[in-house]
Amino acid sequence: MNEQQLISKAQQGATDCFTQLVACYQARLYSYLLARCQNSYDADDVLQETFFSAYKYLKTYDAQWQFSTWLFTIARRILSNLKTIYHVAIDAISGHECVSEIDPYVLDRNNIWNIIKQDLSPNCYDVLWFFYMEQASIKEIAHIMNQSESWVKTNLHRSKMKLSNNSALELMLAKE
Amino acid sequence: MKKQLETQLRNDGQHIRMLAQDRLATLDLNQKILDGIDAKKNPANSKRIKYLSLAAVLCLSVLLGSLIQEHGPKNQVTPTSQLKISASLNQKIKQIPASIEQNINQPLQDEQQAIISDLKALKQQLLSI
Repeated sequence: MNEQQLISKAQQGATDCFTQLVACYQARLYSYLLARCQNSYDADDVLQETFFSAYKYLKTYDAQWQFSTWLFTIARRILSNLKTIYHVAIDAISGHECVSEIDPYVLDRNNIWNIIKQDLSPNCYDVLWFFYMEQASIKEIAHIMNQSESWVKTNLHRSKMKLSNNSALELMLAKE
Repeated sequence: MKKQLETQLRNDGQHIRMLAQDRLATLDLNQKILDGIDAKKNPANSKRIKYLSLAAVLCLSVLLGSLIQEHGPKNQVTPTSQLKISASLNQKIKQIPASIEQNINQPLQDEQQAIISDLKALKQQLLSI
C-alpha cells in the first residue's frame, strides 16, 4: 500500500493504516522536536499530541502538500502553544529555581544544532532545519511556517550569514 | 566554510535522528497513540449516549407534562364539597371589615406623611437660605 492509500484508508477510520503512517514519520518528527525542545519529555508530549491531532483532523488533510509538511505544521503549532503555557507557568513560579531530572536525551553540547539554538531565533532555526534536514522546498517551508516564500528565502540567507560570523562555530569547524 | 557548515549541519542532524530512533524504541509510541485514540473515542461515545438518553427523558417528561396540563382540568370533576368550601371562603373574605385593611395600611401611610413633612421642612429651609 502506498502513502496515499494509507492516508485515504486512515481517513475512513482504519487505525492500523494510521499507525503505519506514524511509524513512517515518527523518527523525522521526533528528531526535529528533540532538537527544538528543552528536554525529551516535552518532545514526547508534543510528538504524541501531534499524532493525536493529525488523527483527529485527518479528513482536513490537503493532498496538494506532502504528509510530512502537514505533520510539521501541526507540530510547530503545538510547540508554540506549549511555549505559551510554559511562559505563563514560569511567570507564576518566578523566583523558584526549576530543577529537572537528568535527561539522557538532551543534545550534546558540541552538537551544531545545540550551538546555533543560542544564536538564532526559533523561526530561523526552523528554516534551517527544514531546509537541511528535511530537504523541504522553499514553498513547503513557507507553508509549514505560514509565511511567504520570500520571507523564507530572506531568513535562510540571514541565518547562513549569521552562522558564518559565529566565532564559536568557526572554531569548532576549524578543529574538524 | 559554507560547505563545511552545511555538512556539519547534516551530520549533527543525523546524530539527533539516531538519538531520536533510540528513544522511540523505548517509547512504543504506536501503542500509546492507539490507546489514546481508543480512550478519546470511548468517552465521547458514552457521553453522547448519556446526553441522548437525558434529552429523551427530558422530552418525554415535557410531553407528558403538557398532555396532563391540556387534558387534566377538563376531565377533572370538582367535587361538591370543595365547591361549598370555596363559596363559604368567599363569603368570609367579603366579611373582612375595612378597618383591618386600614390597620394594615396605616404604617405605610404614616411613613408617607413623615416623608412629606420632612420634604416640606427641607423646602422651607432651602427657601430661607
